[in-house]
Amino acid sequence: MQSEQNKSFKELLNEELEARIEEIESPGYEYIPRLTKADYLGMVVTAAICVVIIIVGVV
Amino acid sequence: MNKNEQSANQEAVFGIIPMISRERTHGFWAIAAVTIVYSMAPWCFTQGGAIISVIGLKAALTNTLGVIVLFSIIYLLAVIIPAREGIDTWIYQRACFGYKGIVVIWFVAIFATWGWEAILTGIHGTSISALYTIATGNVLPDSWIPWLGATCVIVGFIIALMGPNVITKVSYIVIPGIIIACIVLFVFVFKNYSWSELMSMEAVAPISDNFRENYMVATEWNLAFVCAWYTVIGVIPRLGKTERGSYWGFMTGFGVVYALIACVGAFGALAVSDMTGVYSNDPSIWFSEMGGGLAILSMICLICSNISIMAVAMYSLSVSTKAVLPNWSYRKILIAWSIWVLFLNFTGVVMNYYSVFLSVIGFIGGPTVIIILVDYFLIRKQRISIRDMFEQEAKNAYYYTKGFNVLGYVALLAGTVAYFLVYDPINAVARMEIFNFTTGTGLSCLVAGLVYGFGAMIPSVKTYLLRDMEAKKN
Repeated sequence: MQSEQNKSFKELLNEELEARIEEIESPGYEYIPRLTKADYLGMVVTAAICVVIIIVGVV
Repeated sequence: MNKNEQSANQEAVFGIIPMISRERTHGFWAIAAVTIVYSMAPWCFTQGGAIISVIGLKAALTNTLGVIVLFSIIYLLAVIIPAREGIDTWIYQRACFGYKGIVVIWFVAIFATWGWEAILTGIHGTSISALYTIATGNVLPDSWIPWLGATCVIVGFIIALMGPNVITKVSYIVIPGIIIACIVLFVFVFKNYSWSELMSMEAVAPISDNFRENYMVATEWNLAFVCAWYTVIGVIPRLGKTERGSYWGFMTGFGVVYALIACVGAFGALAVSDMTGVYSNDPSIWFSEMGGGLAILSMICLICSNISIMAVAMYSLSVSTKAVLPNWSYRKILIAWSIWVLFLNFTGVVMNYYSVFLSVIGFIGGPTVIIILVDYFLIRKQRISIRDMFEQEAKNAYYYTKGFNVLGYVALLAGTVAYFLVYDPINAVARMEIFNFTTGTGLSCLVAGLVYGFGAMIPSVKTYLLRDMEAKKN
């Protein structure tokens, strides 16, 4: 029973893995849209707001 | 194989395999919703309660909100890797620490992570005890509290055994439960204090006479609090349809909401302490001190939330363990983790030594994530071999030295040494002046990142690390 469980898990895993790796490695694979400059700008603005909040707390 | 074992197998497989772009289901709002549920745990109250022990309310609120969100901006950049590559950060870390090396780190991190659930058992035990007192007028002996806390583990275990469908339904209790508790705390606080009175409230039990030292200890605790996400940071972003949705969804839940709930805890702990003279970082104590129907309702909400979160944690961490220990059955893993939480519950180590527990979370979760960021963004320039992430033979790129990336371990060790050189987590005091500029977690992140980054500039080490690029060229 125990070995049957292991086999099922590993078999399931290997089957899924191989198919997906092949698809990802294929030249036509499209990744999801990346972060843009607007996101990095958003991070900088958020960081600046946090710094202001921290300063307000200690003065 | 029973249905739940099959389900755990499928979940474990699902957790390991790379997610293809076309399979992604979660936009910004879905990711934000999931992370908000995760971050609405009663231990956030505990964090807020701990912060106001060392600094006054104004500084505590701004420190908690500012530091947690600021550090999250950097820390959650790690979300981009699972979002883009479709793999959990635990899989990605094979590149940073080696196939075998990451298993060692995983065990240390996951053993520590259960400390959060031990906090739930503590809150659970005191909530039931307080309810009993309100109902009967009798006080239960303190020795009963761990036994009452253990019921949270037992019920959580039973729900986790029932499988994912039941767990999903149970998890819906968390949000209303915590929101009700927050509203009750706010009503209590603002009914009794004005804003200016609150802002002038001083710390309950400062560690030092020097404000800056106390402030930096609070900063250290808040940085470590962010590092609590280390073990689960890579699960949800794999489902993200865009990097933007994944990153900002995480920032909303694990950054902003997480900090706000901790702020509510700071309000509650300080107001109750000021009014009754009883200080605790356990929210059930606050509610029992408040008394009245709303407090009873809040404690019932806390009890339900504790059980829900315990069940969700038991299921998700056991499935995650299954991925590392495929030879163990789901039930066996659940039993093993339940015993560990019960041990933490009965010893009371996490609640009694909360700052020490936070330091464990900080020195593991801080430097490791910085190493991940340096590795992916600076050294590999965002290019990896997805095949080598999964094929673990000696010929594969991330096998390194018998399954261990020596540079990754050297960097992590350097970060850990730096941490303990500057900070004494047992007494929560600085060992060196530099702590008052960097904190322990901050310095350990900096040192680990620099050691890893500069180490990778040595030509032979660079070749050692970038075998995946060589394999791609060939």
